[in-house]
Amino acid sequence: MKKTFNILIYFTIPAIFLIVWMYLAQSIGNKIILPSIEDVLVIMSSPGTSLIGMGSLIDNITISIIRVFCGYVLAVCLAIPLGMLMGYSPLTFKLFHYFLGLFRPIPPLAWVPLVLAWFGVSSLAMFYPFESGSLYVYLRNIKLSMIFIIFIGAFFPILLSTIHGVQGVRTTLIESARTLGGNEWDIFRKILIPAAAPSIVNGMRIGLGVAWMCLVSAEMLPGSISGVGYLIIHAYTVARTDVVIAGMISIGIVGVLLDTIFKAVETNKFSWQKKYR
Amino acid sequence: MNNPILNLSDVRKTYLTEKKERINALDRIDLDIFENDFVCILGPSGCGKSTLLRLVAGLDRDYQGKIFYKGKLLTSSSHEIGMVFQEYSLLPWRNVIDNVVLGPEFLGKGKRERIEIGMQYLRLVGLDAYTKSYPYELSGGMQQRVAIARSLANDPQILLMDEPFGALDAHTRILLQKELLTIWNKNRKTILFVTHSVDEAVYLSDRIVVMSASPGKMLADIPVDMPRPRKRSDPAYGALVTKLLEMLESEAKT
Ligand SMILES: Nc1ncnc2c1ncn2[C@@H]1O[C@H](COP(=O)(O)OP(=O)(O)OP(=O)(O)O)[C@@H](O)[C@H]1O
Ligand SMILES: [Mg+2]
Repeated sequence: MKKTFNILIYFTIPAIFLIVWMYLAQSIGNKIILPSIEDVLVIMSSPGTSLIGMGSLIDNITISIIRVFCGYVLAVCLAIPLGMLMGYSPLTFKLFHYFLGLFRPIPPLAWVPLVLAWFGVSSLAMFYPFESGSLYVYLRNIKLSMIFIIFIGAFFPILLSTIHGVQGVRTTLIESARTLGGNEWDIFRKILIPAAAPSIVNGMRIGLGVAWMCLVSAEMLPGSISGVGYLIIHAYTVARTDVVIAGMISIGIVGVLLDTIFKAVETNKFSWQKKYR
Repeated sequence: MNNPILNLSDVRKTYLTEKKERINALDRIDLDIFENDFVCILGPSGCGKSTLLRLVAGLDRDYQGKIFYKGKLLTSSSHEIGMVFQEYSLLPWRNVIDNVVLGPEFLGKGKRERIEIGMQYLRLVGLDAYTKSYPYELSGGMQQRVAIARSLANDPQILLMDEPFGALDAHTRILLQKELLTIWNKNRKTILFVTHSVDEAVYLSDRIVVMSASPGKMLADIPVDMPRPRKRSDPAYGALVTKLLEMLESEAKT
């Protein structure tokens, strides 16, 4: 009884949404403004078939995920060590904080002109020794400019939550480790990292969300010939709103899935944090 | 007389506040602590007791004067000088046993040996049934006992205790005082115990160092030679308590 009620609660709003969509699609009667649910479902239910000559939904999502992954990993690798240093050493904090603070308010999209001037259409294939083969073709799809935009999007949330996490570590924990004979490296590894981990992982989660959101803007850059972002823009120019919506839904689903993975890690590993007084 | 294990000579400490005001937290502290002694530092809130312990623990090196440990100038914290903090200091992401073995872990002891040592000290504080519990699952008194076990597991030469029972109710407090004396009888550490409770100082220590506030300085150094276990109903006990209270009170007035 309780369970069915719960399920009902979860599904009310989506159901209302779908009904309104259905009703509107019918009364507008124009596929370009609002396609029917069935049109979109057809595309979603066969994600492997090629769409408007741009590859399938799955292909485009895969390439998008790889792009996000590249920029994201770069952001994680830079932001976490830098954030830990800035959180721990006031000198490093002063050194970087105000400088980086200037860049933080700049939306990732505002970097586009500069990024294009710097990287043009060069891609990861630049670093690949051969000019042929399927890997080469694949790497050519991953433009440096895209990686940069995604990197910028993910970098700041991760940096800030890492700094916040490290600065929030209670000094008593660090000092008690010191009186137990821990050296600086011990303290870094066994106190600072685990104590700051919940905040860092939270930042990584937010960062991944932002990185994923930067994707569309990154895939609008010149030279892009694939990716969900590109699919959406291109489908718009050929008036295929159903493909646009299918692409948008895919972006949403992937975003939710990525977030769920992080949430699972958070609830599994960091349950101590909630109950901690 | 043998050499003191700890010697403070003319130690002074001033804090600079955010508003650039100077606070004399400690002024001209001269103190000798001898091995196996149980010494209490007694004083009102804010007289610099925690500050003094932090200096001895090597956590704060910004002071004037000299502190010698076993005849050598103290330059940093070490595993030979353990500390139980005023506030809870267990690592919340580690369970009880993993908290207790932190010191041996830092010293590079093997896993089996670590667990053995840890269990030994958990048994000593009577918490061997809570090995796998997390700090947040324990009461305040239990957490403090784990913290004591953690310090002891490192086998320190000196154990500094900063009002370890300050946040506990009167009953638990008396229980833990007894327990601490039992432990101390077993392995005779040198203990430097900070408290603002006159009763606690008289009950526990061989010697009471009385401090006064602003600037924090030593007021008196009183030996306590009553046999243990001490009875609170003993007239000599009551007399000493009264004497100390009067001393603190007259100091508070001036
Ligand atoms: N980091 C600090 N910066 C500035 N002043 C400080 C700092 N720490 C302590 N003080 C000042 O030094 C004095 C002594 O502080 P301390 O913590 O040593 O007192 P205490 O005797 O331990 O008191 P309590 O019994 O309340 O714990 C106080 O007046 C306090 O305001
Ligand atoms: Mg204190």
